[in-house]
Amino acid sequence: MSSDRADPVIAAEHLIQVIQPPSDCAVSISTFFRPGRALAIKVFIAPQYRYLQSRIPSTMDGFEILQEVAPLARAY
Amino acid sequence: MSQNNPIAPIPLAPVAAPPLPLTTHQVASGLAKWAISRGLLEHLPPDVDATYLDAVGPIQLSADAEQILRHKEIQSISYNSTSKTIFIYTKKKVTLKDQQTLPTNVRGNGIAYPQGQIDTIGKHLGSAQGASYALHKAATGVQFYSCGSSISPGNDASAGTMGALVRLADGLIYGLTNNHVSALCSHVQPETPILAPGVIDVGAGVLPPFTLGFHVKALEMKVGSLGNIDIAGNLDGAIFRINNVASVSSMQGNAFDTPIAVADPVEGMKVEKVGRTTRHTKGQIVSKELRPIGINYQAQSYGFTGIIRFANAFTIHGLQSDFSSSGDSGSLVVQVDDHGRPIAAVGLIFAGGPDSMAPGGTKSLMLPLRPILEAFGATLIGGHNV
Repeated sequence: MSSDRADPVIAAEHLIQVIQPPSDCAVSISTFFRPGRALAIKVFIAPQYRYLQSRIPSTMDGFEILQEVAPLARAY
Repeated sequence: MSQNNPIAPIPLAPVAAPPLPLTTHQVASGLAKWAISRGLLEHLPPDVDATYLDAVGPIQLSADAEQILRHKEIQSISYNSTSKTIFIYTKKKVTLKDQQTLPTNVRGNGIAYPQGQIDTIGKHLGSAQGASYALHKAATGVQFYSCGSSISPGNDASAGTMGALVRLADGLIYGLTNNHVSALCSHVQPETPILAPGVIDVGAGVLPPFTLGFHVKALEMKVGSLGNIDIAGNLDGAIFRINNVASVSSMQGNAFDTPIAVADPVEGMKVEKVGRTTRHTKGQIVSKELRPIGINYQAQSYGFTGIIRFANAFTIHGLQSDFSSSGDSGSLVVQVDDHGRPIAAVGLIFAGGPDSMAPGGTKSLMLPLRPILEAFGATLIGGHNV
């Protein structure tokens, strides 16, 4: 991880401030491990909040931001 | 007309050949590609789309039809070749007025607009990939019901996985699984029998169900949003007292014995699990949720549905296919070394969802094991009837 990166938890908080989701179930934010590459952050967007895609930056606090539209996970 | 002086033929404008008739699958594929291109339908991973959709171009519907379908929210598109009918499933009901605008026939195929949502909430149990349980044969020849096998409350048509055997301060042996598996989201009464295999896996020619244990305790899972409830205590765990300790083994299927060490999960960790549905699978922890994640729950027989949030979930991707599927809930996730040797237990599988970056297209969600064991005051058992 490069030295100019923040804690991913802090980066997630900054992302939330930028995205401003209308519900706490609109997005989920997690780290994303890629072998041989720097840790990224991935944002899952619930399909009904698809419009939030345009608010998601490509980087935040030194982390690459990946995004995907997908339904909420379910218990199984 | 002299045959010796033929008149040069008059050049004719090329006549377009009539379009070849498309099969119902091709028309459905064309409509799906159009819907995907317009953002009306979720796209699947490219290789999945390529597998299921025919190699035809998008078939466009009118702007008015698009507007209606956008409002109604397309859930899926399926087809019936025999009846030459294409079904466009929508979340909201398509009214008779809508149908005056929407096409009822495309390229010779009837179009129906049923209301229906696929893959929303609850236990949509997949068929077990092979047996839903394992009997471990010890050196003595005696067989024992293994961890990683099917269980359910005796009064519910469901199935999940017994993750491990644990010991409590009272010295007794208990089975460990998810709350939503053996307690159906805190609804099952204590002392309810826990059957093995689970009720939904009972059938001819397989192990007759027996009372593996009795439900004792489920950890709290509060429904509600941040600020209204304290989600820090939400843990999807439950224990049931083993009825006959001579009937069970701490083996995970027939793959490996349950390690008694517990480790905290980290991204990049190589893991394996044995579960009721997908059995023995290998994967890697790829994500840690940075904020609480909401999970859809359903306990159908109690009329319960709700979103429960968890503060500390991890994501696992299978190495070549799904790491887990419906019915694998409760499976113990075990860290392995580079040679695949179990090192320590790290968590319990409890949920899953679509993820285009995961082999198989589905991610598995895991809760760390240590807080669950600490909440019960339990320790893992290994070496039991192995």
